[in-house]
Amino acid sequence: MRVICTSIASQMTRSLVITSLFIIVFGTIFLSWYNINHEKESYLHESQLQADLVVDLVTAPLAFFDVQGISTNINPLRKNSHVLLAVVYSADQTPLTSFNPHHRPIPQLNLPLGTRYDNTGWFPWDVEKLSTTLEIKQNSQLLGYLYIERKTDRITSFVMDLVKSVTIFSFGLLLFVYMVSRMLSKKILQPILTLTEAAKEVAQNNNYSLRVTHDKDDEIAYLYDAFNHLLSDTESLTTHLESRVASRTQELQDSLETLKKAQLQLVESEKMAALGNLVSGVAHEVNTPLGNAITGGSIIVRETQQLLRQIEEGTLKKSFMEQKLNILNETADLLLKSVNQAANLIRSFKRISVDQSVEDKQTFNLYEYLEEILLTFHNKLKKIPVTVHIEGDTKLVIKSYPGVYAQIISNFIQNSLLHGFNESTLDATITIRFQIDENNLILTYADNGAGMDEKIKKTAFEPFTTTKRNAGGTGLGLNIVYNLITQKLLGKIILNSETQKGASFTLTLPLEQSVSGEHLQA
Amino acid sequence: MKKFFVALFCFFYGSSLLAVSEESIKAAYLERFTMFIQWPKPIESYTICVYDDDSFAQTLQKSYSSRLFNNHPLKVIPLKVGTPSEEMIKCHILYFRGSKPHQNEALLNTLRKNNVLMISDDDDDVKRGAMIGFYLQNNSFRFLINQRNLENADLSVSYKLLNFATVIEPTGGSK
Repeated sequence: MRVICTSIASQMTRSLVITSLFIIVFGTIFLSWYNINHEKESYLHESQLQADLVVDLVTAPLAFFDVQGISTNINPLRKNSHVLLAVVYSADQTPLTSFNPHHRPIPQLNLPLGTRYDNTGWFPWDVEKLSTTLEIKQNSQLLGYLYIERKTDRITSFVMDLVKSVTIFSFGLLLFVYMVSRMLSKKILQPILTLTEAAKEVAQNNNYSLRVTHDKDDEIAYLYDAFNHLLSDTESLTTHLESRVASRTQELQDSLETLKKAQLQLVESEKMAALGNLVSGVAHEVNTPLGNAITGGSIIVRETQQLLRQIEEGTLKKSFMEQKLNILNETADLLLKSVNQAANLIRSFKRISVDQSVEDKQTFNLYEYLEEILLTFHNKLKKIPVTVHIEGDTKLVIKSYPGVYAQIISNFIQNSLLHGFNESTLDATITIRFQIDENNLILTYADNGAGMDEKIKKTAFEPFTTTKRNAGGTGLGLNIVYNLITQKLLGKIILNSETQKGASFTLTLPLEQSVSGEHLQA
Repeated sequence: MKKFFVALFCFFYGSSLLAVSEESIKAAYLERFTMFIQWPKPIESYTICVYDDDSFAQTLQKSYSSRLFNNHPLKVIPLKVGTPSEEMIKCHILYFRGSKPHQNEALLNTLRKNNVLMISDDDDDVKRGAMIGFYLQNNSFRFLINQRNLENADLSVSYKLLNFATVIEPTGGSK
């Protein structure tokens, strides 16, 4: 169950408070900066005005050399507690009179003219004093100068007051924003929280009969209706789910049975086709030695009859007798060889057919067994013709299912003959190579035929994959091979092929399963 | 010029009257008056008529022979006793040093009409027709101003001067 660490209401409140905090901080900085500068400008302007007034007052006394009058007329400055020093200089910059409540040294005239803050620091309130230097002129005639120094504690005091006010206001505003955001989040999010609780109840107890109610006509109402609709649908689905699952399962089982039957039928068809091929091969192979035996038998009968006729007529000569006996001897030898060949063939066919029908493990020489399998394809291989190389230890004996090996190799050869080669193929070669690698038998079957493209390669081991369905291919050959290798021999098969570069199958067959230690011989 | 003003300031700081002569002080005062008073017509050069004191006229002329009088050239005309009013109306400033002509209404009207600034060493004259009158107070020269007379002569006076000087009210009082 998911644990909610931070609720939406808290997130909303936090977001609003943080946003407000940013706005307040930046707004406060901007407004403070602006107000401090404005206060400075105002103080500067005020000082300038007062200085101008004093200049007006002292102009006439200065013009008429009345120092007493000058001193009297700088009286407005005496009432101003911010004034540190005021000095009236003559036109040649000689100090004439001063107002100096703090007994500061009378400075040399501080030009340039104008009113300005001295020693201004980085912060707008970081100033030491305000100084004013003005010319006293009448009718464009320079009569003297007025120099005034002022304290800037008014600015400092303003800054302190501003900081206090801003701090109190900011805290108040933040508190207000916090309370408003709490109230709003409660009002806005309550329906969503109710919905969350309902969803939790449904998730925990599968209570799909639950419904949420509302008295609003907004997006929340739409959400509630959609939630109720979803619950209704889910309830309906849940109620009928079991019967639908049972019905579908039955349908699937029926389909599976049908498919299995079809597969079995197809496999049986394939087996029958393979058996037909085997019988056809057997008949064809045995036909030749039997034909030779019949010919030999006919010769023996004919020569024997000639001998018997001459014996009856009494015309038999020794030389004739020797000639016929030689013929009879050679023919009988040929006959015996043919019959022996036929007997060998029959033995091999019998063994293969018996191996295919018997499922027990047998001990056999792999090299010789592969040669016997090839015998059944002797005529078909000769027809193209195809050269077959078997490379491997001729003395290797393994314990496994020889019939499975026969089926695998037969399918490979049939595929090569049917798909890989045709009568125009030159230098057609099949190579069967085997070796022991640790505890595995690595058997490689390769031809240099037409190969497969990528599309065929991807589906080669899937059932019913063939490019020659009209020419007798069932598409089951490689699937049977795959099943025999993976299920019967518990091995692996890898297919490598490129178009016009042949096909090769690499079989990795575990020896623990296919051969017992006592039978493994190098 | 600088030395002159330093001397004047020394005087005001309590030095002996002998250090700077009365004539020098009043000559300087005359120039300063012109800084605060404006004539209705533009002035190219100032003409000051000194009535019945050739010595002062010479001193004044000599003082400004090598420098300008309120940024303008100065011409000083000494007037003898009995000089007709036609001569007087050529002056921008008419300074009564010793005796004075009889200040009948016709003469005053003529002078006012011609924007002549009348200055007298006798402060009582400001009650009769003069605009500025000197007097001595605490060893310093002060002056009275009759604002009404200045207005009648179409002469504008700066509030700065009015603020500094003793001004005769139209009713005859002073502030």
